[in-house]
Amino acid sequence: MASTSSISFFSSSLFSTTKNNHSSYNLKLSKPKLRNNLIRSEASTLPILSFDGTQVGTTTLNLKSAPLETSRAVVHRGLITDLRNKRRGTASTLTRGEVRGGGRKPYPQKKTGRARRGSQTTPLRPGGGTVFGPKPKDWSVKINKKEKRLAISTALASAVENENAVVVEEFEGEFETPKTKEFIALMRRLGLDPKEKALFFMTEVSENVERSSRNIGTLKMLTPRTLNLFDILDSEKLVFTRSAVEFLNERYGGEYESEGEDEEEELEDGTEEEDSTSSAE
Amino acid sequence: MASLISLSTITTSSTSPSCNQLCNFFKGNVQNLKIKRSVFQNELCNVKVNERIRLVVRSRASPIPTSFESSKVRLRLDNLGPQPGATKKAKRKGRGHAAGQGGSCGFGMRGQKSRSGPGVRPGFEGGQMPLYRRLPKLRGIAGGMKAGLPKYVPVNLKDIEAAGFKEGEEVSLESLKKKGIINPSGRERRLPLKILGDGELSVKVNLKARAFSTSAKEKLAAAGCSLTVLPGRKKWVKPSVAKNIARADEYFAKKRAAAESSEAPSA
Repeated sequence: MASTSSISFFSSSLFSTTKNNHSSYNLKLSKPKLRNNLIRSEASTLPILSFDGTQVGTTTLNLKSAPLETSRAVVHRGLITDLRNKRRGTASTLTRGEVRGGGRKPYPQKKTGRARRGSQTTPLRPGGGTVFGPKPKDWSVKINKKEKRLAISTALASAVENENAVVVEEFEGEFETPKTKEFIALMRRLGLDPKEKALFFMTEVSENVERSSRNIGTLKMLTPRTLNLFDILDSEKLVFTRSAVEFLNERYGGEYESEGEDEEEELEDGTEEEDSTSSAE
Repeated sequence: MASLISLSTITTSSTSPSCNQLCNFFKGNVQNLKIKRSVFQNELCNVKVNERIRLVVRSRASPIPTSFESSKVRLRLDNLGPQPGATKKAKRKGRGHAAGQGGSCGFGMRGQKSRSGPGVRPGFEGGQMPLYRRLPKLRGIAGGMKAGLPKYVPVNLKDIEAAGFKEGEEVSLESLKKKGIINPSGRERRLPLKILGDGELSVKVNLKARAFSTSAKEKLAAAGCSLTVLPGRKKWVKPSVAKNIARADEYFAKKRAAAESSEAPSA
């Protein structure tokens, strides 16, 4: 489609007849449509389970995802960016110039009967410098905001499509005391294996829920602030609460287009960065 | 297959008894330990021994797909990868002639450029007066002076006139943006508005801007428009300093009030 259209566009610019002008006009109309079609968004219906594990209703999750040919690459780029940006890049070794000492010639050039030697810090000797060792390096890479968002929503959508997602009603108040055993029982009721990696995505985590779940090694308890691509890809099952599904529809949904929200988000991001820098200082 | 393996072990043991004796602590008759083969099996084995055993390695893991034609496979950590064609393999320099970048690794033969390091410095033209010295320096604003950057988004009175504002309407950065008179982008988005006095304004409007030029002020006063000078951005201070400033303000305000009240009865 794209190739044919480009050909007709060139031909129209070459031969400026009225007929071809008409075709170029048509092109202008068709192009934006094609662009919108690239990003898929399919609504999928998920059953809502109660705290006891019985089904109480259904909800729809409508997430944007990248086209099939590029989805793998988009998610890969998102993941690689995360992993690289996590690196501190502070590994450092001493080269022969930085190793302490070594300025003096160990013994005279001649008349000792030994091999000539100029420095104690040569890489050939024990205690000498390192030749091509690690040096502090900035590993960070940049990714476009929309691309990063698309990577997360694509990963989520693919998990939902393959029925690895569960929706639960809010269970904030169900834990009166922190009790890990009860949380594991809840996981079993939801059809999760406590031995497999699972991700709980909630908008709010009460203290009792947090303390009941934090000793389960396979479990990740995430909020909108801590939602990240690695954990989505890493965990076998995803569990959302009802409000979390609403959040996902709003943030990563097919209708998320308006510019006003974008600007707000930029501001938020800016403050976050400032916070992080100030804390680092 | 199992019979084959047993056969081969037996044959090796029978061919090298000395070796067996050396490394075995077994004192009995080794011949008794041999597996007695049936005739039928023997025949089968003899047929197979002549053939070469071919080893076929089949990878158990499913091949990693380059793109998911159907969405049935969930994206996980182990099946991601870059878009085909997006990455290039690095040139393996100095790994032999056949690799393409063997002997001198693409650095040619002899001279400054074949040595380690970057070669001649940037801008060097072989000793002739280089371009960056042939041309005069740019000084002042033309040389990228920070003071030369605009501090306001300027709008002239004639543009406001042309925009077709009605009587009593508000003219501010937002309303001008909405009308499409200005469309600040990049650095300009953070700049405040300044009204300049080019042209005439016939309608009475409420103007809100950070600054007005002198001529604009005169013209607007003549037209009877109301002007509002918006406050500038406050300088950020440490929270502790801000607290002190607030305290000082409060103290002086109280003092001033006290002074006034003491003056009033005396006067």
